[in-house]
Amino acid sequence: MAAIARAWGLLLLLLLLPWLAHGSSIKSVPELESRMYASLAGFPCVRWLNLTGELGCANPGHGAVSAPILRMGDALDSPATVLVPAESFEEFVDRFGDDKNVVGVLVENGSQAPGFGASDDARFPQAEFAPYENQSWVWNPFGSGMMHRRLNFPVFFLSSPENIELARRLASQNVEKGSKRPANVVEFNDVMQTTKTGTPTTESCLGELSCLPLGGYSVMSTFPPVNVSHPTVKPVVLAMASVDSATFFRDVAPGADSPMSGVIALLAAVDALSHVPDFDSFLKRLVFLVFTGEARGYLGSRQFLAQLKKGAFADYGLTSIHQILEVGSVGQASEATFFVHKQATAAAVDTQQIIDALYLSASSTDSTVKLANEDNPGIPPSSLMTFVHNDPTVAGVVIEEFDTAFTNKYYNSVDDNSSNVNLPSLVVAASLVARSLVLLASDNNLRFDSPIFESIQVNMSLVEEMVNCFFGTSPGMRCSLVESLMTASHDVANHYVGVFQADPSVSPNSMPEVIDDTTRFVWNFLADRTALPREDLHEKCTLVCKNPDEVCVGATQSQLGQCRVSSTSSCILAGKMISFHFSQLSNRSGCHTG
Amino acid sequence: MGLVAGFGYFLIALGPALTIFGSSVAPKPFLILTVLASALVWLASLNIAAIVWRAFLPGPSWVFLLILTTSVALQEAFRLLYWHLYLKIEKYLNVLATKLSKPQCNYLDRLEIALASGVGHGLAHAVFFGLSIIAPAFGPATYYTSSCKQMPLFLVSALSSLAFFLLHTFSMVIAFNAYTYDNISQKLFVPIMHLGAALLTLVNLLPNGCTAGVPLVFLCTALTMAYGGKIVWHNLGPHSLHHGYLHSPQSGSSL
Repeated sequence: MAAIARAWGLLLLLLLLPWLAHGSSIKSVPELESRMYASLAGFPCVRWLNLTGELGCANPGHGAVSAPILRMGDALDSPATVLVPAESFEEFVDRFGDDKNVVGVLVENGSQAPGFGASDDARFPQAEFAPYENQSWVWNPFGSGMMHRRLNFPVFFLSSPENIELARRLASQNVEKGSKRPANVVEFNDVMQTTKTGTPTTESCLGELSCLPLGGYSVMSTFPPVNVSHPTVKPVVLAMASVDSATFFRDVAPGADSPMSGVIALLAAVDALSHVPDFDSFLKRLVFLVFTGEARGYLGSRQFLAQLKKGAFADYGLTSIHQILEVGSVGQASEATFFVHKQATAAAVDTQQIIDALYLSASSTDSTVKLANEDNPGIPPSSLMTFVHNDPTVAGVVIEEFDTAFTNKYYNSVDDNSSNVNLPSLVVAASLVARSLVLLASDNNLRFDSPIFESIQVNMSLVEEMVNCFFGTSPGMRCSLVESLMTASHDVANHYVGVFQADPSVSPNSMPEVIDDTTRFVWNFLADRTALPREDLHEKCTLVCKNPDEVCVGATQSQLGQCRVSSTSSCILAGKMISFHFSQLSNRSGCHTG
Repeated sequence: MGLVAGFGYFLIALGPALTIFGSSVAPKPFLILTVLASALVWLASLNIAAIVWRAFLPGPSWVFLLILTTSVALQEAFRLLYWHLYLKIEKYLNVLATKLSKPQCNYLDRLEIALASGVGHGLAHAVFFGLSIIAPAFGPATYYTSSCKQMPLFLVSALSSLAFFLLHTFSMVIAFNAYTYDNISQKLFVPIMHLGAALLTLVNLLPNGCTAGVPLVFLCTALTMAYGGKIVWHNLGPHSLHHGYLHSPQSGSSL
């Protein structure tokens, strides 16, 4: 009878107890098996590597681990899986993170208390990239830094109420029984390690091919489109935003306010600008950039800059940057007030032109723009930091909803979802951006009371739809706005940058599964809005167009796309986390039209 | 752990079967064939019962009484059929033996064939009712029903299979002896014991019933084994030398 010594569970499969039998009869052996196991779907915390070592969570060995389930607060005198409420997770890790009896942790989704610890990132996110000395400035007062810790056990996030209820019931049963068998056991079979031992840093694991590099596609679009064969050279105004977020749990990174609100505002601004006639006659060219990988070491912006310096964008008439306007977190501005952040070292005249354009736009849109507090050490964590590193005099500003520190309590947190942004803030931000860009492109030759200026209207329903598409669950990315341009692979958009596994030489649109849905949507949206006006006869296409100036826009599973003249491309950035060395990757990068 | 538990239950259910097979059946090829043939016959009987009853399931709990009674009755009917089939075969075997100038079937042979037939019956029961339920035990988890918190379902199943295997094996020996000597009490003993054991398994359905049900079934098994042993001892033991195991009984004659 010793054979029945231990009871095990499976997968995040729990071992079933008599109460689950309902006293009713079992009709077949498969039904018996289904009563023995239950699967608990959860979102994992994964193992990350950077230059200096490991972060995140993993099984200590190479096999699956399992242990009986208990609740936080129960006596931990034998190996156990602990069920921890989200609010107490940090405290739990502080007290029991090194306890050998913690085999794994299940975190219950609760509404995170919006206080200290609500954000998973550090108090100065990515401080090592700051182009100024003061790296102890607290930009993120709610940050716990949890996502930068190294844990030696698996952690899963339970989001659905049914799973949480089940886990709680089984844990309390274990406690009632004491240590008597049979016990309810949780097995974590998501083994998260580098495939070879002894490769704890990016250098070693990429060299040994025992891990995958983070990477993805950023989208670049010029407005109006350039003639690729002989591009005219004009001073370039860069309007940029970033699209990726990072939290303790890789797959739950909605990033609504930070940074997606910037993307939404930028896209809505592009939509408004697309109705402005004669953009070709303006003195400067606009280039829209949506980066990914920013939350994990500014991968997108750094790769972009590296490519720019090598002359990769000469075909687009892009060899140097005149001015930069970055749209940061703009989803929860209070009283329609936005703050302009700039580096003290920025070129005075060109930067002031941007700021003046913003002031002018604010006065015409019933909002307020203020310069950020002088006591700030510099610009907040943003893609602009990369450009400032490259050239401290670059004329660039970041628009944010906050002044001296983030007002977003859920920066890089699982709770940064659609309830963390509001429509009025997004719409006003989009108007600001649109009008400022027009002023900058026209090099102040446009009077603010000109009819063109007044005609720039942001489509409010577009903004609302984007919020529902990016942060909703149903229909989520199957909403009509997205479906009109592309077919998404998943219903729910997650904004984790992803690993880069594709062949860099292949055009990403030919393998839609390689690019994540949000990036693909941004590409299609920008291509559609920045393209030359539609004529009646457009060549239909599925992936590529014969004319090098044209791209295939809007190809979905149910309809063919159209070849439109647009200079929109997706650029690869593949990188190691927190690494300044691009030499290994320089031959793997490039931009593709389409 | 899962593999260990699974094999443990398997050996509990069929360990004695393997032993009996290895020691008494395997050395004689004809007995191996007998085991197979018997198993097939009993599988057929169980299949017929299953086909009939599938139409009425799932149903209320009292239906179990009906199922058990009719299935046992069907199996006992098959036992009688099997006996007549055996007589025919024995006749042909004896004809063959005469042709080859070999000795004819004697009483010991009959009992050995009875044992092998019983093993076949028991194996069919174990495979049908035991092994399929024990199969999930090879995984990492186990299962306790609400009415039996003392033993896992798999253990109850394995023990039941063991009990019934032994019951069926020795029932056949008693039955062959009963039909040979036309002994009414022995003829009735087998069906009654079979039915009794079957109905006693229903005790497992009661809360904590398995603590009583399983031992009671083993009681039936023990009684059957004791009775069977007594018969064999009486017929073949030292005090029965005057029969001699060289004597070939005619079917139906009583001595």
